[in-house]
Amino acid sequence: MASMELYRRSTLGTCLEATLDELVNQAAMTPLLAVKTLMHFDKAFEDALRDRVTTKATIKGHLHTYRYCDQVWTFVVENAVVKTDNQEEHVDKLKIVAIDAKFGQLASR
Amino acid sequence: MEGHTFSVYRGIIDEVLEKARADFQAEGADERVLDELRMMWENKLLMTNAIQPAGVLVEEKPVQAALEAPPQNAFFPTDLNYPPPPDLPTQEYVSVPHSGRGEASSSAAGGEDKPSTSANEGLQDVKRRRLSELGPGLENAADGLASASVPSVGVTVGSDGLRIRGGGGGDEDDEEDYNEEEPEKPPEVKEEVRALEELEVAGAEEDDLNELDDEEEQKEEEDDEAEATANIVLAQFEKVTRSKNKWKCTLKEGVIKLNGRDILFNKANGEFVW
Repeated sequence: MASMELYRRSTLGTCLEATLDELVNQAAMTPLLAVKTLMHFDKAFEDALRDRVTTKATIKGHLHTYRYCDQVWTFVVENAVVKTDNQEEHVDKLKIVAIDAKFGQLASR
Repeated sequence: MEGHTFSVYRGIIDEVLEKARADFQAEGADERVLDELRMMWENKLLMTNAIQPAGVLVEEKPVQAALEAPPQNAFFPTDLNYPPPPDLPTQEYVSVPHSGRGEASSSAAGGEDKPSTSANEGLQDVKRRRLSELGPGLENAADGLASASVPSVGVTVGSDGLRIRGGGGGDEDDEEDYNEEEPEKPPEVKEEVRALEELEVAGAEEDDLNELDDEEEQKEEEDDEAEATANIVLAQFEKVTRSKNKWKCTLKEGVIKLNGRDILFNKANGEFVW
């Protein structure tokens, strides 16, 4: 479960974290409930990507940096081209953080 | 594409709140907090423009504002990046008295003024209705946006561009990156914090600028890393292979933060040349 925390860095995740921070600071909810809510988010986000998203993407570019540590691959790609079903975008730099899919499956069960 | 992200995100919000409701009930906590949680969460999300739902107010509003209320825009000369927020609060305050005055003038003075005022009135009504549909949360948030100094956003973006260019190509790049590899965590945390600040569009960004003036060199290094993390893919990898300098990776279940928007994918292939 813990590994799926990476989705908290999505825009949806950062918005939730900011909201929970505010509510906990206002004493509107307990920190424990906030943590539980984040864990529900991790699960819900992964489930949604697996079951409700069909988009395929390709990423190409010049690999500037690579590293593998604690079952996490990190790539920094320069002059990246990201293609999805119906659009193509260029960015100067793109960072990819990918956790081991096997590890994720084991951990979430 | 963005519409799809929006609907998936809304599904996630529903599911999280449903599960959280069970937790709240189990602990005997006030469930009304969940309504507030949803409102704040959704408002923050809309503010980021990471998700642009199909057929939205967000896109209509600025156009209307530009057409109908040029004097209002004059107060926000540099708000091109964030046209909707300043629009909301002013509409709220301006529209209410207007309807009263509109009626009075239209009944008192006939002639050419009449059609234009009543037409304006109609538009104001439509806008007011829209605003009430959006709910009080967004108004508050919009107030926050309007009060946070909007110009500073433009300045920050501009200086970002400068910093990026400054730290861009060149031989130093390679050396810097070896240094960056070790202290990976701090810059990422900073990036997250910065993202949060941007979401709330707090005045804190001005502090950012001041820091930059003070420690320009240090900032440049960090910004290289920050730029790398501004566009980011969060995913799970199935396979990563390399032959000579060609890398291939198979990713699944990921989200791409690309140029400020979120794109979701089920599968992705990466092909890189080192």
